[in-house]
Amino acid sequence: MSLVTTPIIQVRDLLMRFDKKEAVSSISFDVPRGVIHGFIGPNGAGKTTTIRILASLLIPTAGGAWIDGANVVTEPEEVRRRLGYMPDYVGVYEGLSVQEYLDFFAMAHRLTPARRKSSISDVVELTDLGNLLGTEVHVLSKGMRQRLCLAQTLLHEPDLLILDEPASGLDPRARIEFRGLLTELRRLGKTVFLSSHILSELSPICDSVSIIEKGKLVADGSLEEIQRKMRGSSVTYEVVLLDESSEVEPVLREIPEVGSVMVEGRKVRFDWDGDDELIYRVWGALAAKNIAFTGVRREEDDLENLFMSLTTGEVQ
Amino acid sequence: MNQLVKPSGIGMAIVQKELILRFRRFRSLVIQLIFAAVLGGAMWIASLNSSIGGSVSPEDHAQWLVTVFFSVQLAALFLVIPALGAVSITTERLGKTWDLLIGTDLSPGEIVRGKLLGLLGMAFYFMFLPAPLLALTSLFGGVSIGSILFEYFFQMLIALLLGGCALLSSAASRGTARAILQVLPVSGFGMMFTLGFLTNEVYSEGLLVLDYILQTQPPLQFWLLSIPMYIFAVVGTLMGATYFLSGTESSREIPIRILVLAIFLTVGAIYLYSIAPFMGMGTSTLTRGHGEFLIICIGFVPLVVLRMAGGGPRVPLRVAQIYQRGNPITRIGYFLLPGGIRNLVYPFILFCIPFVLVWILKQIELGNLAQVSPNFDLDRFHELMGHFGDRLIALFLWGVSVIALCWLFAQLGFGSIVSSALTIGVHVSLLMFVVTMSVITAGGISNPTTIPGSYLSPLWMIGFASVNSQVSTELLNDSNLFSIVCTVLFIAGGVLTSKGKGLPVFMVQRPGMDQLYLELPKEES
Repeated sequence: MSLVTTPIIQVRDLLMRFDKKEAVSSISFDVPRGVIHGFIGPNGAGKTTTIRILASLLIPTAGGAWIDGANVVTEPEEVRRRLGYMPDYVGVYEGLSVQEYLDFFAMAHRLTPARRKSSISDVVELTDLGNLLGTEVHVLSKGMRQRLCLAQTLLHEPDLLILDEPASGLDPRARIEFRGLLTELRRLGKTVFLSSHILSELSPICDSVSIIEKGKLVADGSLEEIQRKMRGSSVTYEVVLLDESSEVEPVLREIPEVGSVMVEGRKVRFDWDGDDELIYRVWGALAAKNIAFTGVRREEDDLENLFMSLTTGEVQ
Repeated sequence: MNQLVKPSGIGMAIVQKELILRFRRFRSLVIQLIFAAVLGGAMWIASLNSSIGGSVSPEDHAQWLVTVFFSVQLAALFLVIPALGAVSITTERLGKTWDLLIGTDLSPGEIVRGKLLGLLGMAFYFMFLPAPLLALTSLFGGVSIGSILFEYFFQMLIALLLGGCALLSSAASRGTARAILQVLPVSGFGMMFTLGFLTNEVYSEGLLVLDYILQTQPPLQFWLLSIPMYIFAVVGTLMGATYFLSGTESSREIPIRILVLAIFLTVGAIYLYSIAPFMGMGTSTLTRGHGEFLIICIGFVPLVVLRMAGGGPRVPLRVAQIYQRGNPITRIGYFLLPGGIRNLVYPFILFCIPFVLVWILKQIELGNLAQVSPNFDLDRFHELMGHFGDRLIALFLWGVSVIALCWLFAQLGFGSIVSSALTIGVHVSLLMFVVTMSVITAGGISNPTTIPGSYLSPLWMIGFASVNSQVSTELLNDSNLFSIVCTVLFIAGGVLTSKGKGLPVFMVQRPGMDQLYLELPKEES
C-alpha cells in the first residue's frame, strides 16, 4: 500500500490504564490524509490521553498507534518530526518576543538558518502575526497565543497537526478566525486532528469525526456516514406549501419510497427511504397536481444532535 | 532506522533562550545591583580595615582585598546558582512549556546541557562583571595574574558542579519549592565547607588557591582522587537530570549504572594504588587504620546500593526493546539492565567491591610480614587478623541480607526511596530492640548470650564482637546464620511476589509488552 493512500493516523486497540482505571479502552480508528478530523467527547472522555499518546508523550498500556507509518512507542522521535502538537494549554516564555519565540522553536527543530528564516516568514504570514513580531508573547491575547502556538507547530512543516482543544477560551471572533485558519491549512494539504467538546466549533469544518465517551469510541467516520448509521435508511423532509391542500397526503403516499407523512396546515413532513437522487419524483408528483410549495428543508442530523444521541453524558 | 540513536548537541537553542530570558528579567537587574553593592561594600570595608601604611604593605593590602573579593564572589555563586538552577526545569513544567519543548527535536540530554550552559553563562557574567574592580588591586602588586586566573578557574569549576546539582534537583522535582528545598542543603553544606576551608586555610594566610597548592604540594593521591571524583560528580548530576527527564520507560538508567560502577572501581583502584605499598609496615595495617576504609565504604555505599536495590521491578520498555534486538553487549552487561533480579545482582556487585579490595589489601599485608621488625608479635597479629576476617565476613553477609530486604520491599511495590528507608528503619529498630533488651536483661552488653533475640541484629553482634573477642566467634556464627537465612527468605519472597504479579524476574521483558502493537496488525499493514 502506498504511503499516500495510507491513513496518516492509524490507531489499533489502543488502551491506556492508569493504575486500575482505564482512561482509553481499546479504541481503533483511522484518519485519512488532508482532512480535518474532529475528536469529540465530553470532559474526562479520554481525548487528551489519546492525543498525548499520538504525540508520543505517553506510552499506551496496550494496542498501538502510527503517525504517518511511524510507531508512537518505538519511533517517538520520528513521530515528533512528522507532527505538530499543540497542547490544551498554551505555555509561553515570558520575556521572549514573537520573533524570538518562533526562532527558538525553529532552532529546536534543527532547521538550518536559511530554512528557519523562510519557515518563520511562511508561518507568520499564514497565521497573520506579521505585525506582532516584536511584541512580547506574554502580552498577547489568548487568541493570538493560540495562533502563535499553531505557528510554532507548523515551523518544521509537518503533514499532521494535532491540536488539543484549540478553541477553548477563545472569544467568538477568535474562534471564527481560528476556524478559517484551520480550513486554510486543509487547503494547503495538511491533516488536522483536533479535539473539542464545543461541537459548534467542529460542525462547519470537520470532514470526519471520532466520538469518544468514557474511553470508548462510540462513532467514527465522516459526518454523513455517521448520520446514515444513526438515522437508518430514511431522511425527513419538510415542505412548506403555498396554500393548504388536502391532496398532498394521498399524492405522497402513492410514492413507494415515502414513509410516514404528517400534515400540519401548510407544513408537510415526510420520511424518504429512497436514494437521494430519486427525490425528484416527489417534486414532480406535487407539480403534476399543481401543488405549489415555497420551501423545502432536508432535516440533517447536525453534530450536536448526533453527539447527544450517541453519548450518555456520563463521565469516568 | 535505529530510533534509539538521536543526534545530540549542546542545545544551543536552549542556551540562547535561557540567556535572553535570564538577562531580560527585571530580577536579573536587581540581582546584579545587589551583587555589585555587596561586593563593593565588602571591598570598601576591607579596604578601611587594612589601610596602607604602618605595618600593612601595599602588596599585603592587595592580597587582602583580592581574598575578600573572591570570598564574596564565591558566596554569591553558592546563593545564586542553586536558586536559579533549581527552578529552571520546574518552571517549564509549571508554565506548560515542557510538552512543547519535548515535542521538538531536542533530546532530554540536550535540554539539560543547554540549561546548564545558560545558567553558567549568567554565573560567569556575574563573575567577570566586577573584574575591573579586581584589576584596581593590581596597582598595589603582590598578587600574580596567574593566581587570579586560577581562582576564576576554581570558581568556575564550583559553579559547574553547583549548576549540575541544581539541575538534578529541578529535574527530579515536580514543584519549584521542593526543588529549591532539595538543593539548598547541598549548596549550604558545600558553601560552609568550601568557605570554611578557604577562609581558615587559604585566604587567612594571604594566599589564593593556586598559591596554596604550590606551597603545600598535595600528594599524587589527592589529585588521583579529587579530579576523577569531581568529573564523576558533574557527569553524574547531569546524567541524573537527564534520567529524570527521560521518563520511566527510557534506558537512561543503564549509563547511570555504568557510571556508578566506574566510580566504585576508580575510587577502589586509586585507594589500592596509594595504600598497597605501605601495607604491613609500621602502623599501617588493616586491623588498625586502613580497615577504616571499609567502614567508610560501608557507610556510604548503602546510599547507592539501596537506591538501586529498591528500584522498580519492571523493565523499562526501551531497555526491553534494546535487549530484544539481541546485541551481544546487552548479554554481557545483563546485570546493568534495570528491573527484575538484576536490581539485586547489580547492588550486590557494587557491595562486593570494597570487600574485594580489603581482601586484596589483607593478602598484601600478609605478604609484607617479612619486612617487619623481629620484635613484632606475629601470633597476636594473626589473631587480630583472624578476628578482623571473621567480622568482615559477618559484615558482608549482613550487608547482603540488607540489600535483599530492600529488593523485597521493591518487589512488594514500594518505591526506591521508601524501600531504602524501610530497610534502614527495620535494621535500626532491631538494633534498638536488642540494645534495649541487653540493658533490661543483662544490664548492658557484658553477657550477650543471655540476651533474648540478640541474633535479630547482626549489626549489634558485629559491633559487640569487635570490642569483645572472647565471645566473637559464637556471636558472629549466630549473626552469619541469621543473615544467610534472612537473605534466602527475602530473595525467595521477592521472587514469589514478582511471579505472583506476573513480573519477569530473570528475563529482560516488560510486562504487557506483548500487548503493545509494535507493528501494524498484519491484515492491515
